[in-house]
Amino acid sequence: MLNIFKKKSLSIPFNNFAEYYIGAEVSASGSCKTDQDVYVDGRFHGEIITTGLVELATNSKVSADVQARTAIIEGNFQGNAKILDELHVASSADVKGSLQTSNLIVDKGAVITARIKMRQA
Amino acid sequence: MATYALLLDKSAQDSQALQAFLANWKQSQKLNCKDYLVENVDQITTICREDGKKFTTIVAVGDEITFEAMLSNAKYFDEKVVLGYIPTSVNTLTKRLGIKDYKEGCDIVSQRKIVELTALSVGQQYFLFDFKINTANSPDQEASNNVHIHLDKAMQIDIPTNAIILHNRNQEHLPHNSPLLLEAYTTQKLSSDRHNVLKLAKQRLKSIGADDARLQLRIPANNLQIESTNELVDSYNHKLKTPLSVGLHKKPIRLIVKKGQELQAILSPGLIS
Repeated sequence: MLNIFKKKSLSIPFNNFAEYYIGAEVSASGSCKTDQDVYVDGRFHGEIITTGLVELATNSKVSADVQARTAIIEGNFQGNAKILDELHVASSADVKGSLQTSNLIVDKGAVITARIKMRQA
Repeated sequence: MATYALLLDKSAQDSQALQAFLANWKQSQKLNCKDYLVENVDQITTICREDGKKFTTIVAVGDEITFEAMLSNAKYFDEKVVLGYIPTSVNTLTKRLGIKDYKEGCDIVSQRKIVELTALSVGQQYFLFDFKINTANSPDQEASNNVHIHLDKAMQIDIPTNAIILHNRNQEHLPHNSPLLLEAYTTQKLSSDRHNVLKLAKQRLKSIGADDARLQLRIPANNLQIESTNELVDSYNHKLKTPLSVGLHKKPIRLIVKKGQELQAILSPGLIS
């Protein structure tokens, strides 16, 4: 079942050990291709392709094409996101671009200016 | 027949009990052995360069820094050389290798249980487990040390950092393709500290002696290049030439470990904890 505009408190399966951890003071650019989880709290420009989880934290500013199994956007995101399983847009998020996923969860207060394409899981 | 070189640092030379024990041990094991009394890290480089290929087994006796200095000169060793460690104090290396004291260290060397690891290059040196890099203090303490990192995976990273730790993950033994894991720390506070990943990072902060530092970057790589606005220095306060290439060269290392401690020696501390 597609799940849009679900109003609930954030319950995020936080990473125990994200292989890629880009902290708040970090500015990174380029291509990040991995089968591990990626966590961004800083600035990133480029592309992120992973079979794991992508988490863009509250203060993150990301301009990228993202492909992942699941994703959580809490910060500022601009670009194209293709998320296989579930995309969670938190209340603090500001999203611009295009989103493609099979399950979308949007918290109250999130700002989305994007083309959304839903597909069956 | 195995020919041994023992590199005895100042702490080993100052311990009469160790000297007496070593003499008995060498006699009982009938070791064909040469002792080198070393005063500093630079002397170890000279010994390794001049005599490194003469021995089948080279053992650092003393502090952890002596073992690290021996390993840094791995390029001078024969590929079949076996490395060992006999400690004079408890340190992170003894914990990792499961060695209680010098008596057990001698016993372990005698048993010659060998694991094969891969040392990675950092500049002209090699490291087997961790390599710590600090940015030298700026005359203006308020100015941040900006470091630029170029990764093999076409990523460029800019980070104000005070301390970098390179972890050698010995890729042959782990289900991933990146032998290096880079972590960088700053004294800046993060926007959030609720993530488990940060709790793990705090365990490692003690090793860099920066209690108020925070993890800013963790990234796996095959190799990377580090540039910095300030000087980079290693844990001996030796200046590192920039741009600093890491992981460009790999060297197989045969290390004597305690029986049953093989996995502990191979895995990175982060994975063990």
